[in-house]
Amino acid sequence: MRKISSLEYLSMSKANRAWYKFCSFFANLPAAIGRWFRSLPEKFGKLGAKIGGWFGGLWDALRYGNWKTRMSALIWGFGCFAYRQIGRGILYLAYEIIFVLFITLFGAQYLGKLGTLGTVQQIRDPDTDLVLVMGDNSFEILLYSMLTIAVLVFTVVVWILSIKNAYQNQLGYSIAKRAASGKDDIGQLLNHRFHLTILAFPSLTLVVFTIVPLMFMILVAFTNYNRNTLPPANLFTWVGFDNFAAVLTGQAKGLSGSQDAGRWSYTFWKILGWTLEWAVLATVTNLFLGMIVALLINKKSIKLKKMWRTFLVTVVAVPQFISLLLVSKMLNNAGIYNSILYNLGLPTVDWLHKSAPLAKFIIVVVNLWVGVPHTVLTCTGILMNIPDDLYEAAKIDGANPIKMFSKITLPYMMFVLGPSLITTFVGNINNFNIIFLLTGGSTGLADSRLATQAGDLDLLITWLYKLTVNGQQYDVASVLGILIFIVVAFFSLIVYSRIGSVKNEEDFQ
Amino acid sequence: MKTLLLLSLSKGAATAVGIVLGVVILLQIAAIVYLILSRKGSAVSSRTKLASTHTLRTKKIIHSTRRSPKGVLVDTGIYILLVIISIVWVFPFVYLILCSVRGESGGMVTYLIPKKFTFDNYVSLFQGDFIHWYINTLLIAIVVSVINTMITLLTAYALSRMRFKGRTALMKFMLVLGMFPGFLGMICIYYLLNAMGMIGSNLSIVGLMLVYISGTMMGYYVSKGFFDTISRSLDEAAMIDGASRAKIFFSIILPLSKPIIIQTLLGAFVGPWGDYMMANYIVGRGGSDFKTAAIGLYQMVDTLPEISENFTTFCAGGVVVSLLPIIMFFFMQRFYVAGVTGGSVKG
Repeated sequence: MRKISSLEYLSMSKANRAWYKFCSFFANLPAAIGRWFRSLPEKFGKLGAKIGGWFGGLWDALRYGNWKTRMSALIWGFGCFAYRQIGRGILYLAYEIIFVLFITLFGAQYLGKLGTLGTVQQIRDPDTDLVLVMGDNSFEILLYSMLTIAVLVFTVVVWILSIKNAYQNQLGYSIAKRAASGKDDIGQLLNHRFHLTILAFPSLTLVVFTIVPLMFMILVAFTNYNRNTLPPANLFTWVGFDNFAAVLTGQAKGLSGSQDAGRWSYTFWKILGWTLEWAVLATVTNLFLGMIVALLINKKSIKLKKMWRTFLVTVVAVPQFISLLLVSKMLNNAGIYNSILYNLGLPTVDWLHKSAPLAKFIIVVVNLWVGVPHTVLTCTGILMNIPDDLYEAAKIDGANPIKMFSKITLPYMMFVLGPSLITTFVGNINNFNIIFLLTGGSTGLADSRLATQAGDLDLLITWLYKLTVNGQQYDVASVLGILIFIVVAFFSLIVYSRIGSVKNEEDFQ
Repeated sequence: MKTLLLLSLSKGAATAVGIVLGVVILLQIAAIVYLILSRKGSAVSSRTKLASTHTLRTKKIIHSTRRSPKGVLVDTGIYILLVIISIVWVFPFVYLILCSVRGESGGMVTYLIPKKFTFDNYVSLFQGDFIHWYINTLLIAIVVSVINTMITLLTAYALSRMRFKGRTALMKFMLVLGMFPGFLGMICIYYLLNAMGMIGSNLSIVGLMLVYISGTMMGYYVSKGFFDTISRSLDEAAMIDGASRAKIFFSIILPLSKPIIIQTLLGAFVGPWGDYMMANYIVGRGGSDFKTAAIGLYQMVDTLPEISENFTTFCAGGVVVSLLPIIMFFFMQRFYVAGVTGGSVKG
């Protein structure tokens, strides 16, 4: 795209300027993404330097510390006992003992088999169905290895902390002749280290129920874990990038299952296209209709504002599984909408099963019904927050209503809604409820080229759900999960890099 | 067939009504466009001269001035439009309530207003397993909303007010983590819960609670935005007076954060209350006693024969399940509206 000078830009008409901005946003996109990727090494460098600095502190402690400090690298908490920090010392020592027991009795056996995911096949007696040889359980090996690795990382942190703590004690003792007592510690945990107290429990649940499962599933994408290799009866193993190749390009030899790989890729690209189409449509239509309705309700001269809002809020309040299931039944062939049409003497339509484009249109409309009240609530809050003096000042300066809308109301709304637009967009990419509860993901029209469990209305997330729950195709499901992540990350990156309020957090306060 | 619905309009009359409706809708669209272009529109021109002084008194005078006929016309148009919007939005729920008191059995009928009113559907609903499902759901939703609100607010406070090592790294990490679809790790969570004996037993409700609680930390954004707007000089003043961080949070920040507390509570309550995806995987295949209302009601109308058999009962269940959230939203709407944006912009 041709660069133009600012003089040229200013001489353009309003519409031309808007068009120019629109074009330049997309023209600059590749360069911006390129810049981001080029800055990656630098970012990793900074991260490395930080971690290096941390380990550097450890090196200092071991080098300049006295024998008590060095001893605590072996017997954790030794440096604490030596300076009469009994409470801390006991905690460190107890952690060390528990860790050693955990590794030797539990972790090591799984970590050792991580490379092969088990080699001993389970053997059953064909007649009595009794298990003769237990065999390796690939699932457990992978899962508990992840758990062990998480524990290992945490342990290294604790280990370094214990040595640094001992070194601190040594330094502090030489000056103050006294190390921090247990009472001081508790005071600190409620004051300067309050964040540790606060974040400990949430972090634990986050690690066990989010991070470890996620690591596990990411690794499953590189295995052939599916309905043919279910443990404990069978073993699954590493297959490298075969699953990715099958889903993205349709070329892979190793993928097990009855279907050829070409079908996976056909389905994936088709569903990805619809997912993006859906996310854009749903976000944009919701935003605009929501804004319009909010403006209508909040117009100064309109009475009964609360009543109108309450009507809309009913939709927010009623759980989606009720409202969406109900609407899906109402849109049935024999549902109430068709009855109305019939009674009016009009032809009836099978809304959700006639053709894919019609069903998609209906989904977007129903999504308006579900989503607009949310937007109205948000917009109402924003409109109430716009200070009246702005409008009064504009009036004094002789601005007309159109100018006031485009220069005050709209920018204000976009400023607040801008960041939430990403969340809405991402939320729509992963909008399980509306597709699954309304249509089950399919019009029921057969498309023989689609892979297992996929329907013509499925989003990536509903296909993933069906592959996991009904199809047990965990390998492909994991690949889908990672690809969803990449799509979401890509769009978030574009928007985040362009929104100041996210970056300049401190200015904002 | 042509019974009570639409008062048995003849075909010609129906077409006429359709044309009139179409014209009205077109007029409304024109009205919207006009309205958007003139927010605070009509009265402005007559006010401009008066508006130079903005005391309360002049404002009152402005509002009491007579409105131009054009403004009245626009407002009437808006009222008509709002009525239409309300009807479209509320219609499914009216239908839900009407079906739930319908005496005739069967799935879909071609008329709106039942021929026989009855409460049998509610009676048969509560004679079934529904009462278990309802209690389960209530228990889960209450526990989860309380714990999640605590976690969210505390996390938001730590990230908003305290500056510690790894704070930005933690925020970025959670941002990236949140981009993975939450369902992805589900089979793994299922396995872990199973290993803890929380699948298919009385504990399965606890397991489901754990699932809902686990990722809460990542939803700190809105609350953090809210805390960011509370002036830091309050904290500093309290710190000079010797208050600890914990004390500042509980006795200064929390009392100022009523809207965001209520909004978080509400969100955390409604989430588990209406969740299908996670709940189905954890408790969907277990015994009927362990199900939540969402699972139970979904399975009630899952297949075609079930629809015609259970539809009216399903509608009764829908009404009962919706009652609590509607009441909550009704009373907390004020806070909800304030909380949604309270954190983002201050004028």
